[in-house]
Amino acid sequence: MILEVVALRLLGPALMFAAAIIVKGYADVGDGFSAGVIVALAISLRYIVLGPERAEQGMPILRRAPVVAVAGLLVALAAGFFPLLLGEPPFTHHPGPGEHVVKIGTLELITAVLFDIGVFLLVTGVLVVLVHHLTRLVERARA
Amino acid sequence: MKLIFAVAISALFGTGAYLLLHRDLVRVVLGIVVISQASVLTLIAASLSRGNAAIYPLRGRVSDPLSQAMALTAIVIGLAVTGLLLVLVLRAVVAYRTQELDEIAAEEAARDEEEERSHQVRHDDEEAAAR
Repeated sequence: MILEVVALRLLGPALMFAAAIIVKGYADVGDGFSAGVIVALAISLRYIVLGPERAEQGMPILRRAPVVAVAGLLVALAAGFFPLLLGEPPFTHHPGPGEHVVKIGTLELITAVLFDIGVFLLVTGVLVVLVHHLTRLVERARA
Repeated sequence: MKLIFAVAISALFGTGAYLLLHRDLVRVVLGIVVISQASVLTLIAASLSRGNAAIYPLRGRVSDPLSQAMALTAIVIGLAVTGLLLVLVLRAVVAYRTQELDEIAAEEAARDEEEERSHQVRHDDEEAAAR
């Protein structure tokens, strides 16, 4: 009962925390990977408490987890290898160190953040796919 | 700091080894998970150094990023191994309808015996037919 309430409410704070980790990730401890793991943990608690059917009824995007994972992979690869087209080494980020950066609050718009978001989507998607298949297998074993 | 890490690692490893020696398959998997966490902590403790995050441009002393990258790799590998082990346990539970090692062994022995007996019966039948 308590677990159900917590599992349903936990996703919001988890997303908030993940966003904070991504925002400070390029200049401080934290990155897309840990943010993705945090969100995936909250989602897997939801799966464990509600079971795969009800968990995905409430959040249809969970069924699209493979698409999210592939999209994240493509975003990360694009952010990493786009500089090759400009004749620069891969993972050169723009704007470079010391140059002017567009800021939205504390979020600085540089391509490193885009890469982190890609990693975040990839990790979250893959973990959700994993939990989805595991819970499905458990349900089938119980039936 | 080193002492704290050492105590934490030994506690984790001890807990993991205790779980690993259980008869319950799920606890065995949990033990492996806890031991892999102990190994991650060992990797981090192997290069404890104070300093800024190693992000370009470097300012003053930076902490050693190598062991942290290796810890990240170990975490990912641990995740994959955990997933694989859980599925294997699930298959064992589906096949033998129990997650106790003893009961699985007993069930396996019973099945072997059954198979042996059916072989024997078939063999006897063939011999009788040949006669």
